[in-house]
Amino acid sequence: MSPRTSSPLWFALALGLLALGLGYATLTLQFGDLSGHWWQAAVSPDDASIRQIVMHYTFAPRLVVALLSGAALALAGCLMQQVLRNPLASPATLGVTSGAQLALVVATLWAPGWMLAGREWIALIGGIAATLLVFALSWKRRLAPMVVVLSGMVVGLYFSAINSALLLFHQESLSGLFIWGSGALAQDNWHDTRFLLVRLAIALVLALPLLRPLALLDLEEEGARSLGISLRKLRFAALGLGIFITACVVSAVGLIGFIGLASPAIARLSGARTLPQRLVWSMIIGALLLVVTDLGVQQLSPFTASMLPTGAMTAALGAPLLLWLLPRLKIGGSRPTPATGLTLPRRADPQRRLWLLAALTLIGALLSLVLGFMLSGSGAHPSIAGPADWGLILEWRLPRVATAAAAGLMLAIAGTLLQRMTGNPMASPEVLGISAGVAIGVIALMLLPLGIAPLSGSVTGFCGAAVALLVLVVSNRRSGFAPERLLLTGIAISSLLDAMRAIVLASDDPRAQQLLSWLGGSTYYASLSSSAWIVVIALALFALTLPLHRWLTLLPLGAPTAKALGMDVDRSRLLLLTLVALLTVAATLVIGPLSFIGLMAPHMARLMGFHGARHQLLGASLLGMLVMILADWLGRNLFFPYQLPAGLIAALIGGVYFMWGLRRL
Amino acid sequence: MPRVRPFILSLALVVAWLTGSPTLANTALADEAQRSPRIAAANWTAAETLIALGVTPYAVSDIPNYNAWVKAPAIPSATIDIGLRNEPNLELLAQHPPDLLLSSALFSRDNARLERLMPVRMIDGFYTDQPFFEATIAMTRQIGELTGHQAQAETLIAETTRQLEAASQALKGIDTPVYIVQFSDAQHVRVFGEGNMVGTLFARTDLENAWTGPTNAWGYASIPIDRLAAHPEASIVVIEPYPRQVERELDDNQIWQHLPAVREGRLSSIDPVWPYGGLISLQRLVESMVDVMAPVAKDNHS
Repeated sequence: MSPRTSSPLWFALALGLLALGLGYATLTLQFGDLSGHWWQAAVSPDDASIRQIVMHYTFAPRLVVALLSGAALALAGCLMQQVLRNPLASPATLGVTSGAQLALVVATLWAPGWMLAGREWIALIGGIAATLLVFALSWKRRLAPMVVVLSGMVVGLYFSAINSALLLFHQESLSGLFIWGSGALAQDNWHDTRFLLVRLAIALVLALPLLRPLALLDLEEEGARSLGISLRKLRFAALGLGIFITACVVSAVGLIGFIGLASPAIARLSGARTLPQRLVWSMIIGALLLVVTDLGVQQLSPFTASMLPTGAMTAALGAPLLLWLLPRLKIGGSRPTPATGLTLPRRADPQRRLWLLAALTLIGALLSLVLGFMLSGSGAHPSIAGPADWGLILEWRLPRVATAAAAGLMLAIAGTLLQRMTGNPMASPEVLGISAGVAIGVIALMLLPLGIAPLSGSVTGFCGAAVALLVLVVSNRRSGFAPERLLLTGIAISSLLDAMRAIVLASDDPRAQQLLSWLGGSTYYASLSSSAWIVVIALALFALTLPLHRWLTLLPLGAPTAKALGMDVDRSRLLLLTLVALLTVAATLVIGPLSFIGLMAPHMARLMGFHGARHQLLGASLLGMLVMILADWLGRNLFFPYQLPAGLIAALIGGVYFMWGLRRL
Repeated sequence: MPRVRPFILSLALVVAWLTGSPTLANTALADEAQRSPRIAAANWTAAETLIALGVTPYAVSDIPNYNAWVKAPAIPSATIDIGLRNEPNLELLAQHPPDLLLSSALFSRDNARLERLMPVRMIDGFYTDQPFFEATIAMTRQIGELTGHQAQAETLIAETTRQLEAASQALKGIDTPVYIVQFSDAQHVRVFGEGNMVGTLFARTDLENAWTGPTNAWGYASIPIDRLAAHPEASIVVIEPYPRQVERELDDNQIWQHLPAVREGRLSSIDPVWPYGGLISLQRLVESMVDVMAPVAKDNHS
């Protein structure tokens, strides 16, 4: 950093000027006819002039709401990052946002009466429920940062999987929620402004007494405790406050994901040192970031037939910004922190349990081929297929089972490699951003005018993955592929996909359903030949991975230790990264960008007592296959003839097991 | 094997379509006379048209949502459900493949696979080079030919054309433009333009569309409601249903309450109709629109 920009002031000033310019442009563009009466229209409009009314009830409150939401989310993100001492923590990574969204979807579908009481309260209940679940899962570990973030990610994934499943079946009735879900800031009165103003003020007052003890967390944990701070109470209070603020914003204006992650990072990066400084500057930067984005969106929207949701656009614009900032961001060295993470009891005889798992997987595969619905009379009924139905099984069930199993295998290996390589239990193929890259490529193809191109999803998907990988390598080569940096790069790329997804869904495009189904991980399009290919590829990559277990044993010890033991750390990381990329591309192309198996399978293997690198790899592979086969079968038969994507079901199964395991720690 | 005959028959049907030879099709259909072809529809518009022509479809996609959104004509109870529109259940179709599957370009990504089970025909009022109304008429004729219900198809087309002419008479001389919208939530609406049945209504009557902005491939745009203020003189017609609780939230919506059309009572709502459907849906739309707009036209005359 050059000394000139050592204070966030310059960055904030630049943003502020940009906001002023855009604001003026928007005013002249949309309210040019009111020129000269702007202030009067915004403050006390003439009741008879619809133009002044529009300005008073949309433009002005929208501006204020954007400022307030940006500041509030930045405050929440800053508190969470401080208390969890993890730059990856944000309202979204803790499951608050998906909890709030799920509550709203459920209420909309089954208890519309409750919505009349005010949707902010329902969202608040959802957010708090998600958080309570996270706290319950990590309570025994005294809310240790790593466990809290881990539980938060799982709860978040879990809730958004249920969400997607519901959206798949009720697309027509929920189209309004898509718009809300992508963070449209549209206002039609001053209610939201008052709502947010009051709550932000309360939150700020409550945050003040927490500042001093929180600042002490900058010292190591042991140091803070020796100064007489109850860590559990402090974490509870600060996290609770952050969640409350988030839930308020989410309920008022929808999901706006990126601000809470980025603003504290930018503030710290541009030179804010102490906690109060960081808090104030992140709030200023957060507010300005959101306003700039929103004004930009308002500039663009007259030219399109679709909604441009601000929340999603924030991520679309913010992701490149984060990528640019990353090489300049100072995060603790490359030493992973498994010490605060998970330690598990060792169990004897992993070999026998591996054989048992393999047998279970085989039986599962056979059952999923034979059990299904058969047509008899005027309807379909569950029954066991006989030899006469061989054709049906071979042609329409086997490809899906094989594809699901192969994808589960590949994602489980990719997840194991990633978690061992980075020493970060949050790592998964999706967090790395490669499956997001594939998905971006495939979505781009779907959105091209129908039937225009000889291109196939695999070509564009591969291009997307290649670009994502290139970004990963370019922005991480200098740091020697340090784990935290790698994960942050991946999160930035994934947030681009999230933005794209939200924009497509909010655009009210009938093709959204197809997209949702693909993103959820459907095996619907598997054919005999495609599944044969994918099985061969999966087995080949699996064979390539097995000899690498020495690296996988050494890398979690941290780069210095591994180097001392004679390992070329950079080269092995690059090689493993390539392998992960290949596995992820192959799996994502056939079954969509699910992160669930990649995240869960290695953990499930560890919870089952597979600790050595080789055993964990084998155990995770078998578990990945087993869960995916089961998920695919359930997806095909649970609501027959309606089909749920296997990826969604896998997330639901894996999530329950994972939460249960976490609770036992 | 009892399956052989239908298979050969359907093969003959495919060959007939592919070559476009009327004689071949006629012989195939003559042969078929003992048994009406079993037709499945993954596309609600095709399902609607089939039923309107008096054909009982063998299978239709997502029947509960059809009942909620298309509503009429009702699906016969013998028809089976084949799951989501974009993923017709292959295991189910494979067990007793229909003679024909009608789908839409929107829902099909991989027809080669579907065609291993049964002939697949893309039938749609959208994604054609023709304007919506002409495309829909062509689609109705096509379905009539495929099912041997040409006469019924012509009757339906004639009926619809007559109704449009009557509507054009009833709405003559109307000079206030109108927005036709459907609420997404309390702040956003789909406003309809050219390229769907609402566009047809505007093109064939004196009714003028107040929305002149861009629309997507299905002929609508998603906009915040304040943009409905762009033409203060316009009326607003809302296609029901209002999404849950939106009607209540609108009471609090200052923009909505201050819109000239709302303040001056130029707001009306019509029964739910599927704006992306076929001729039956079009008839229902036209009927509702005449009901709400004809009095306005009369006022103008007097």
